[in-house]
Amino acid sequence: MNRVACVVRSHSRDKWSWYVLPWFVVGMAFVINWAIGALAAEGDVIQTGGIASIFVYMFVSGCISVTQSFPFLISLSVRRRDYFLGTTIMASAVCLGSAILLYALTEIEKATGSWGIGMRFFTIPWIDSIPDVGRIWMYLIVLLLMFFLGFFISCWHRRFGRIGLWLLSIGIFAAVTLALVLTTRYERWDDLGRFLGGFSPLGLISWLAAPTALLFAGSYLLLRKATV
Amino acid sequence: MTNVVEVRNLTKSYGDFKALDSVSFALREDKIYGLLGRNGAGKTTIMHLLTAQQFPSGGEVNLFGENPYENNRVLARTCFIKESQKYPDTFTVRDVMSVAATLFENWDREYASRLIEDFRLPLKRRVKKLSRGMQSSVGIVVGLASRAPLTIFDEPYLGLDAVARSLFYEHLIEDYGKFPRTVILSTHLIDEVSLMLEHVLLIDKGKLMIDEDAEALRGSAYTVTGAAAKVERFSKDKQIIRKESFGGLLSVTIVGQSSESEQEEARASGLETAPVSLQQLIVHLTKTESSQEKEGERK
Repeated sequence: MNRVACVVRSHSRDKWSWYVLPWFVVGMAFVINWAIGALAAEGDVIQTGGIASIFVYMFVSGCISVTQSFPFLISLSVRRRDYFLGTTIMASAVCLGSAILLYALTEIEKATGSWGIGMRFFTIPWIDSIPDVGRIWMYLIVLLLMFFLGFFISCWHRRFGRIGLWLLSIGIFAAVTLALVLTTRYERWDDLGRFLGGFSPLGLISWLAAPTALLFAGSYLLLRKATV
Repeated sequence: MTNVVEVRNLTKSYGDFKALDSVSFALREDKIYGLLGRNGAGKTTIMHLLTAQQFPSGGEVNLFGENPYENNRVLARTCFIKESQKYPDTFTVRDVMSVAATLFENWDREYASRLIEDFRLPLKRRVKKLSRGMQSSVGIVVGLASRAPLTIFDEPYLGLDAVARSLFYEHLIEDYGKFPRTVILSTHLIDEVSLMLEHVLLIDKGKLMIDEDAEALRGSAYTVTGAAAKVERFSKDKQIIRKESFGGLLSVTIVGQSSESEQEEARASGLETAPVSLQQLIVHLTKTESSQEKEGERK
């Protein structure tokens, strides 16, 4: 059997982490929100933001997949490249499935009058006017971004260890601080606002494909030199 | 016969510390090799470098005539079972077996099931929840059932009881007889495996000390035991590597093969001669090496 397919098969045996746990987390958040919403129902529409839990889960999933499966599969004579490709295929399939499910749940939410109690759990008003395929695409991009962000951090850790991870976070913190200070110093906040405002939601989210691609490529380069 | 493994001037250093110092050797097809040495001698490092799971600081590794790094032709024929193998948290014994079955082309499903039964492994239990010894058994089953042309066991039996260990040895010998392959067995329990080994590599402090046929090694020293005075007389002018006395008895280990006449002489003076065990020999070799060095440092 093709060894990339073997890696995908190996991942898919872990049904709990890939399929059950993320939607279990979302389900729990939903139940809690619904209970609170039902108790406090006063006619207003509640915007819960509960949908964020699935994106957070994808990030965590990216973080743990390297520690969970990399040492195991590499020890079973899998190439780093095949591990990377197999994991990418698995994660992409899960992200696509999740994006479609999110879309479906949003439609159900709208059809049921926000679950009968005016609780918006999945709907994001900002993107609600975008056509169906566009919304699935947006979910997919953000889910993938979250996964590869976690995956990249985990690969970085495997490659450079704990100290490397510290240096990375210090570096990111310094870069963000510098950007904030410079933007304030040269009074460019308005320009930035106008620049971002010029994009449609769909265009803005689509641009997130670029950092996703960078994290994807970076993860591969890190993994190629990672040891067990 | 061809060389399955070729290692030239292999070096691995961590800062100033040299875990491996210019090690060279070649392993032939279808033999059982013992990779022996004390803790921290560099055995595990060698095996990680062979399978490209770590990277050498210098030197060259060839498996089946090719560089193993990112090389499926090599890796698919190689199975490396290590002492502290990590498994995904949610994986059951069954999960591990079915993943391994897809990765090793010679995997024998029936044989794997038989091994699982012999080692009494619960298929549905998560590997993480198994006892230390049972986790080791999981590795052993994978290693044996993979029937990989190059199978490497690194201390595969941590926490295994004596029954399971001898089960492992029996299976290894039996299956090796039916499906010959190159096996590298790294271990501390030299006495237990010494009869299986056909060739011995001894590593000490990152250096290759011995690369020798096991049979030749076993014959390279012998022990003489008897009345102290008689033993003293017999061993005069011979190279002695160990001396031990209890009561009026003396036991010495002498380097070299005992000749017919020497054996005759020993028997005539009522002395007992016996071949020295591989373990004793290795203990002696790695011990003196380090104590000699200590003396050197003191000077």
